[in-house]
Amino acid sequence: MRSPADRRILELLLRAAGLAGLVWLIAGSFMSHRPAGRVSLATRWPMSLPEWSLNPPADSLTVRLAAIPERPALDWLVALRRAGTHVTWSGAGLTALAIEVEPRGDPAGGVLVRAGGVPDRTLALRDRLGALDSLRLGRVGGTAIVPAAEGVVAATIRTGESVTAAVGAGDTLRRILVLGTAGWESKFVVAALSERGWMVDARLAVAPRLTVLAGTPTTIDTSVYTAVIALDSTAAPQADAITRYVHSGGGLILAPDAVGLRAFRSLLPAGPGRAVAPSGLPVERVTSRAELPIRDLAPLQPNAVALERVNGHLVAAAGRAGSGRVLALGLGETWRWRMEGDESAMAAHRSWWAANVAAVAYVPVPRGKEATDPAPLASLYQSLGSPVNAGSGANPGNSLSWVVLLGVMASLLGEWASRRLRGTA
Amino acid sequence: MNARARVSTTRQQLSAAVIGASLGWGLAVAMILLLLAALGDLVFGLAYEIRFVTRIGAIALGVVAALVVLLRNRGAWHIEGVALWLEEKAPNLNYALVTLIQGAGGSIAALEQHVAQVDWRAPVRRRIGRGTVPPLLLASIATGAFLLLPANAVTRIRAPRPDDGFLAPRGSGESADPFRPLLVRVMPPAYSGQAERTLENPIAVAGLQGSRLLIEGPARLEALVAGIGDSGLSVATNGDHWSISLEMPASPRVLTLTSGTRHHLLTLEPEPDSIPQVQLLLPSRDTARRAVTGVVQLDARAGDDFGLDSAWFEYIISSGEGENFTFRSGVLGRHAGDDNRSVAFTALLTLDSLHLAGGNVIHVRAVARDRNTTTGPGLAASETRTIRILRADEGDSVSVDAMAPAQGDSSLLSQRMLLLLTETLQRRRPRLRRDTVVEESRAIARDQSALRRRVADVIFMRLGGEGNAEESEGAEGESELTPEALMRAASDTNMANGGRPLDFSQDESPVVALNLPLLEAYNAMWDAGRELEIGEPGRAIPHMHAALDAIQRARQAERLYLRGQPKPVVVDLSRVRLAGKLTDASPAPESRRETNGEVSARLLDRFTLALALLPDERAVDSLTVLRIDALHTAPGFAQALAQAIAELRTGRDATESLVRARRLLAGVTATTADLPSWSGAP
Amino acid sequence: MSEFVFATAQYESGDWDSAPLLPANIIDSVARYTGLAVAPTGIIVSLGSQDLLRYPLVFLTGHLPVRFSQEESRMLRELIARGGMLFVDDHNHDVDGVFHRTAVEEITRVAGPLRDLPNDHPLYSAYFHFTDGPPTTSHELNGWGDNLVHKHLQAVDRDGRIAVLYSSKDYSSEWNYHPETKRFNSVDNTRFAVNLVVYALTR
Repeated sequence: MRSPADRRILELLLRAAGLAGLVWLIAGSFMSHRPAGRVSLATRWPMSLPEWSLNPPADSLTVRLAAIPERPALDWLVALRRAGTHVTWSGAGLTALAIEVEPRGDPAGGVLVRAGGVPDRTLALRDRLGALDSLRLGRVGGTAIVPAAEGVVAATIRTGESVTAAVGAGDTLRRILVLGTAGWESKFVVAALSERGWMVDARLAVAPRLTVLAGTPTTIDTSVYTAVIALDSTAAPQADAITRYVHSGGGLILAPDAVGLRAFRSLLPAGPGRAVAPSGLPVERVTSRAELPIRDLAPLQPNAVALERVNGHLVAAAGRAGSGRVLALGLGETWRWRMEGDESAMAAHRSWWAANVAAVAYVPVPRGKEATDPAPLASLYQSLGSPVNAGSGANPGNSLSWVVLLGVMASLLGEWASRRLRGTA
Repeated sequence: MNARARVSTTRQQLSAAVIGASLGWGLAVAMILLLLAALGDLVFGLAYEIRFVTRIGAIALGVVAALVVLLRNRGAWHIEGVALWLEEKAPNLNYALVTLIQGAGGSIAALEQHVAQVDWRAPVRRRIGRGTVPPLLLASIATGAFLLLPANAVTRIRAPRPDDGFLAPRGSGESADPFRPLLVRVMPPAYSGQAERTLENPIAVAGLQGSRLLIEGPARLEALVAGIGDSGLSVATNGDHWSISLEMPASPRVLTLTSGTRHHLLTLEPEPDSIPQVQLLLPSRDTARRAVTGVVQLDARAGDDFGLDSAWFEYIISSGEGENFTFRSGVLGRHAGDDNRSVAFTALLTLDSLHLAGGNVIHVRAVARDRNTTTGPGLAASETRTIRILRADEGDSVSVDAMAPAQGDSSLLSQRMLLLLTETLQRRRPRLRRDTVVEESRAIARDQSALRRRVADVIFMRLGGEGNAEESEGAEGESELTPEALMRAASDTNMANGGRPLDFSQDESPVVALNLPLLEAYNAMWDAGRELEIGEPGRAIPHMHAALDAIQRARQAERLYLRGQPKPVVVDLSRVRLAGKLTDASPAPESRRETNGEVSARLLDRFTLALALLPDERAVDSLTVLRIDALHTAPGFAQALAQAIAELRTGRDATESLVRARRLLAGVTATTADLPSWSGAP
Repeated sequence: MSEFVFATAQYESGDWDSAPLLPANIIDSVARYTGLAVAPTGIIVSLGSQDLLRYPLVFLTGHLPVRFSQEESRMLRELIARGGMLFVDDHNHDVDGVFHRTAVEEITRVAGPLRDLPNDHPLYSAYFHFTDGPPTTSHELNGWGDNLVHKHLQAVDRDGRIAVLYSSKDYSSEWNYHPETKRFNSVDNTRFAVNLVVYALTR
């Protein structure tokens, strides 16, 4: 500044800016506390809850959260709100994490854990007994099939936040109905599922009007059967009953020889498709599932899901029909895989059929008694609503307020320094 | 007393002190070790083996400590060493004493006088006191402390015995667990040669099947009842302890000890005695031989985990064919195992003595028996080798059998008859009219033709079992094939075409095999028949001789077919499908098989139920029983469970072991960094 | 859907091919009494080959001593473990014969001990009903072999199903004729074979 007059103008502007900032801050402060209330420190507010319960601090209360509160503290705040205190919250950077746990429809046990949260985070899974495994989240979440878990499953990230969900005790239905012609395929499908622990009923046609019954086949109903497996055309006479069963929530698996049946067209998630490998005894030994006779199930129906492809052919597709689920399979004569494969083939065949059943089986899951919190951030929003003053500059907790305060201080300091340097008191 | 005498006295005093210090330190070290062992036994209950080793170790270390002290103070044994030490402790001697002792010269009297003026008794007394009091004091304290321990604890350390396990280290004090201490003596069967073992407070007792078990405990338990499953065991009380004697069961079981409301589980895990392993080295493969004489070398090797009783060779001779077989068997080369774990044995199989004939098959194998006198004996055999004696007419291959008797015999007779008839006609011909000759000649020609058709049936083996090549040709003369063409085709079939079926016309079954010698006879018969048809029996006779010769050759020829290629029978399914009476058919419903699921799933269910009982003691019992059931089906899980059970029983944290056990049983977690659109899919 | 193929086991010892017409006869009966898809001819499969596992029902017969090689034992164990079934018939119909003694010894070694199959076992009602148990063969009645009428078949049980079925009744002789001859029989003596096949296919 060359002239003292210019400097005086500058000092005036600085003073004005400082005062304006102060006014803005004070006004913002008054506005944020309308009506009069108090702000608790983020880390200590849970300790104040008993005091607040006895002596409500004000008509309004805003808690500043650095982490999602524990369920009891959250419930306490909800109780305060219901007692008449206007409780709100603020906080930024809270970690969104959710977990879902359900037993698999498989007598061998197992728990399906699905988790959602910030991508690339790794969750540590544990249950009542101890550590289970770790699960890395992808773009939309992550899935873990835990062979055995008990009680409450907790998922914890490195920062210490955790979510919990109860396993529950589903798996009340354990019967499957197999419909087909007597033969190696039907025999070994029944055997595989029985070995897995399913109670299997079967109707196996031997001659016209002559059927071998295994177990006690009865009315096809969701109260009796977890799933029905139709292996070939001998299931066609019961197509109406099966369709009703599926629409009311039952699971249906259609083997390649049943996929082409007109009676099941309305239920098909894909197909009916066409055979791309000749059936009959393969010349070569079948050592893997990919070497089995294939029926390409394409095209896939809308809303159906392709589950498996072999050499570009769609061989497993699942879809919903009414309340039930239908799985169409394009791999036939799977008994050859069990018999001719390597030493693990028998177990693999069994697991594969069990997984097919699990894909369509409906397993009612009663609620567990354990207190859990599968989605804490969602619970916070549900309990206390959205955070307040998230974008307001008057909120002392807001970084903008600090910027303005610093600006005010800089302006006043600059104005004072200018005057001193000019020689004025 | 001169200086040398004074030094000598001092040397004796110091030597005695060194010996005392040495003994003191040795005793102190030994007693401290024993005291520590006794305290450890009080707290943890040390096993007999540890206590035994500790006692030996204490003595050894005491001796070492004493020797070290002796070695370190070896100067006290020599007068020069003592004199030097005195010079060090009494500087006013001014080396007069050393000079005197070593006789280095100088005035002895002056030196004696100088030494006499010095009194070194004080440093000697101090040295003796410092060297002997601390070790003796330490030894006394350690010994006193050791003796102040409970009497049982002292006894268990002082004189450990394999059977002192039931002596509670705390003396008469009650243990927190009334079933501790528990002592199990495992006495393996004598044949095994294994040493007897003693286990203290075991969770599981492993031992050779058939071992005798002696389970003992202190007799402070009231109304002790023992049992395995539903069967009870008798409990004997002998003075200060009770005992149960039983034999190791054949399969893993749980022994339950019950006293009032308390019970204790002990798993018994038998280790089976493996059967011997036998390997037949010679003959190394199946063989065939023509000679029924000679010697066959037999060589075998056998091994067993505890020792072999005997080993030998067995043979079975089968003879006959079709439905009629006879068998003879025998044993040779019996070899005493002499309790060896591995033996090699040989024998010679003398064929002459076996009275063998062609077609006989000798089946030979080696057999071994182990010394298992409790659950055995274990008997095992090697693979079997066969020695086949070829028939006289069998030489091409060991895998062929003679064909059924050919129809050529009847053809032979008929052809000979026709030849005789023709020769007779030829002899009578000069006396007969031409038309008579022609008539009789044509009659023979018809028989010749019929015979030719029968031979044709033998020659042409057609697919589907229908012969009659001649008939399929239709009437005579309708055939498109001359004998020459037939021969050429046959030759092509058997040589050039490499077995390709010979097809005469499209509506016939293809010929799959030809009998060439009979084909030659067939052709000769054809020629003979043609000559006979035109009334020329004389010209037919050479052809008929040729046919007869060919038939004889065919009869003598080997006619073989390969085993494993019986004539295929193809069932006409469309014709017979559901042609049977189904009135009697009514498949009974199959009762559902018990479905317990996979072994691991069943164990996992039980494991989860047992964990739900924690921290109750019943959880440990459940895990103990579960472990027994998992020993064979999931050994890794059973091992992890054993550790968890041990930790739970001793009050330690078993979380890690239990988590590891669960992982071993349930398998690994499958994870995907995605939320699949369809859950539960394979 | 694959068809049922009747397989005869070829083993290294003994005369495994002593009943060559039996497969056709059983195939004929399966087609005659059921609607099951069946191959028109039987197949011969080596007991020690991997191909054995392609045929979950395997027939074995013979007169001579049976000694399984290591490979044959291994494959047989594998067949049984995976759910297959072996049907063994003593062509000698003689419990003192070497086939019986050696076959029982080998079966015990490979699969476990044979036990009498009760005559009300589901095998006897799997299709036709045989209330008295296994049908008697003419060879049992004519005094050949051990001169005994065997009241029971024997079996090795595996998880509630027959893994190895053993017969001393000589069905190998009884059923070893051309199926065309069947029309002359007043009662078809191969009906029990249908039970056998249906049992194997459904249990």
